[in-house]
Amino acid sequence: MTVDSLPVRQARNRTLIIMLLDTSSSMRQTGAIEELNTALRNWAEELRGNDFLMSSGEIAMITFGRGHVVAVDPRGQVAGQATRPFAPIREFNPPRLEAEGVTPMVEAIQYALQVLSTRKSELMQEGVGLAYRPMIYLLTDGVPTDEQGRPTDRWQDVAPLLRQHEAGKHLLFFGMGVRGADPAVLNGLAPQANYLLHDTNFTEVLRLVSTSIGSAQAESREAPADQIYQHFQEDNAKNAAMRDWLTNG
Amino acid sequence: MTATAGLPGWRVIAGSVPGPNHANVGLPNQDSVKQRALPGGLHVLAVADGAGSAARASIGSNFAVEAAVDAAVQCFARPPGSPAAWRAAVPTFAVACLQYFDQQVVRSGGTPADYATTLLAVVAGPPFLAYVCVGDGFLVTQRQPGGSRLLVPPPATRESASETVFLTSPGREDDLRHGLLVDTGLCGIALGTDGVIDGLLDVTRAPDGRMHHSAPADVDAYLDMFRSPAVDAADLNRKLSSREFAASSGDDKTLLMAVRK
Repeated sequence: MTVDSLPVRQARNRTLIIMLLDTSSSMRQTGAIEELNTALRNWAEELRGNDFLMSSGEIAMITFGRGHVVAVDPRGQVAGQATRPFAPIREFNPPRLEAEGVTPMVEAIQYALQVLSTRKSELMQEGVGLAYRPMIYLLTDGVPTDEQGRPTDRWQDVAPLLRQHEAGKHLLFFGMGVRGADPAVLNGLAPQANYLLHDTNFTEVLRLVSTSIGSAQAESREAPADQIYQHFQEDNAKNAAMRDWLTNG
Repeated sequence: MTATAGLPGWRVIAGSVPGPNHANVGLPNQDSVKQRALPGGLHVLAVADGAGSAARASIGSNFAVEAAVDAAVQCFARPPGSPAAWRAAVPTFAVACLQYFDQQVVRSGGTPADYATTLLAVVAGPPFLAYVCVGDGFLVTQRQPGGSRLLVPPPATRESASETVFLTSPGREDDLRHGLLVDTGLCGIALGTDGVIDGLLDVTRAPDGRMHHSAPADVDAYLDMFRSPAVDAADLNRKLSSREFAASSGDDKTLLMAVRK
């Protein structure tokens, strides 16, 4: 046996990521859904460069819009509602999403919290802990609506719940909007971690997601959510400056 | 770092590398490791893991291992002459570790939480081994015959690592574990920080339903490998930096071993 062949066990603790994806009709009307599909496929490839995430990460995709609120199979193998919302990131092969209908964003957030709670319980039963606190990313081009498609302010009811989860170090919640999203909603749902792009560049949105995952992993696990969000802002500013320098010299 | 131990016939090998989560964003290794020969053929070994959220995490972890060495120099200036003397020295050593650390923090200024760190330290004088631990480090001992056993386990599986206790935590005395092993077969010692827990230890469910860590036979392979003078600290650092270890944990990784040659 050599040093290089000494055995190393695989990661046991998990990193849970939920993507909350807007698939309402506006995403189709602007062509944003295709941009999102392309960006997700490219992002899945990019994630393969993160050894620890590939080993420890699990991802769930919850769409809101077409089909109301649906946990789609992140492996892209089963159509419709997935029986197991989470899949290992190493198996992440995002299905092609289609857009239609209203924007049940609030119900999607509530469902995401439920799915997360269930998975955490399962992992605890298996004796598996969490490497980092779970991260939920809301990606939207619109505003939450009721079943008739009328804007609703029910998001104000779930915001305190999110703050409670953050304060308990159980969750990080990010709000990412593209053109058409309501900044007041994003700011209300994710006061310290919301971004609004003036176009529908989902590649940029997922770049922000990657940066935030790195920021969360670099922080101590006992760090308060505020500190992790601050770290993310700093990392994002640094990356933007670097890209600007590479582009413009 | 590879060294001849103060222990006659033993060697010490230390490896410590930044985890990919820190390396990717240019943060330094916030673990620290230190060891020193003591009079009378004893040796002190210490590892510490600075909290990533602390402003001076790497300084704090360095204070912790320095404190352990200073405490050992004070408490083991002369080798204890009997099992009873060893037993009496252990709690004194534990308290001294905390006191030296506190003094360093006060001298340096700032808020104690800025220096948040764990500490695992041992003073070895086989067959005696005194240990002190606050936080989530782990200690494995190897005996011949018999192999490895986990003497100081890390905390059991939890929802997240947000419950880690540090030397700066209000409840540190509740978490402070110290003790004495007396084992004439002792032939290996390994101290690790939390970054190597997943890569090296097993977790099994005990009859009481709780999850418990244990040291698999693979840990023996590490201790046996580094018994050979042909391998050194550079080899250990390379191993800890490998993709396999990177995939097991994103944290900084430190492993300090003492092995009977």
